[in-house]
Amino acid sequence: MRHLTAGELVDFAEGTRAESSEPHLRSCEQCRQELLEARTMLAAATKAVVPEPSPLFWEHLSKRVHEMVAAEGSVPRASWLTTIQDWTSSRLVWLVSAGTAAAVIFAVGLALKSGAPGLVPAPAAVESAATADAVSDSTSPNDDPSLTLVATLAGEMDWEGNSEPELTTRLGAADKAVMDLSEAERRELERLLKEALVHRGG
Amino acid sequence: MRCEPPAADVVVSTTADEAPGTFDDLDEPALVEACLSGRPGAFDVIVERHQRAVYRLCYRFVGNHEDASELSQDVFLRAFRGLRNFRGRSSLATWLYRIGVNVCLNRVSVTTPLTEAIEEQRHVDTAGVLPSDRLLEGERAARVRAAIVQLPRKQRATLILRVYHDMSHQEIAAALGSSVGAVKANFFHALANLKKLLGEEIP
Repeated sequence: MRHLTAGELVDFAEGTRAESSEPHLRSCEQCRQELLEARTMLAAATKAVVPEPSPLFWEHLSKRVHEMVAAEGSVPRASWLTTIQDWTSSRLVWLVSAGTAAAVIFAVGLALKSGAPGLVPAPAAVESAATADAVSDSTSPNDDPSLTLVATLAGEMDWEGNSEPELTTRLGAADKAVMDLSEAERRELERLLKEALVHRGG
Repeated sequence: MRCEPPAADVVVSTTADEAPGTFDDLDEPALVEACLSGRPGAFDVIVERHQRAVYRLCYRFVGNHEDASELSQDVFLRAFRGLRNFRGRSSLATWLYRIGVNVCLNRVSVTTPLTEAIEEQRHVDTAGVLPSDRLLEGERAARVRAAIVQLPRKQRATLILRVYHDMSHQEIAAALGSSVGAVKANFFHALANLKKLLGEEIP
């Protein structure tokens, strides 16, 4: 004999199924007893109301929550907006990085072509620096290997072609951009440029 | 009136809230939208509308006023933080109950007294009932509440949501991350365990 399952007994206890629809209930004393107890406990639980706190409590609770929310400091944003912002911010890092690198290369190249004084070594020095493997310890911007490599790369660019899509820059912007880089960023730039030179040489 | 642009990380002001009653006529989606638009007064209205139900949910879990009060605050704070995740697929009340159940279930250090303080039983609304019957009913209700607090956590959550917050088995299953069959089984075992805990106290 198969007894009623817990789910079936719940359906009968809640009245979502009629007892008459289950012949087993008429013949099984055990299932009838379980159903009776479930109904009794359900009724007892329903009557067990929660003590009402003091009316002042609700005011206190509202005020406390208001203070906690205010202390949070920011308003929750819409989920679609958060998604868009997360998407754009993750890509923005790449765009800014790539843009900065390209701007530095173009700017230094333009500065070289325009003959701006004191920005990068003279073409002869660039050539010798590019062929020499030794890295100078000098802290002078003019002796910086990063700038030397940038100048080497920029030296062979087609500046007229680049100026057409408005890839020109202001005089002095290149050295400012490079000088604004941290030591670690300059080392990374140097590494990337060296890699590019190796690829070009290979 | 203070109206912040949407999407900005604006500071919530406690001194420049909108005039009382500004949000009273708004329905739930409009209230949520107002909150997400940076109008802090809208969340106050949400709290006012739902604080009694949330408090009672917490009270039934822990069986005492102090913990229920603290947990209720936590529920609303988490609701505020997660308001952007409210999709409107369920009612705001159901969504708050889900948060409430999670907060209560995750609370491991709650003290759960077997009996309640006498003064907490005095506020039960029993107008029109004889004093002797009122006393008897109050005591019986306190015993049932104390027994509910002793139930295993999932059985407790199921029984509370089903009996006192009118959630369907499907909604409870979604809230607890289980199946409808498991919810019904938990509910039945909760009632059976109540019988064991209360013995002959409930005829």
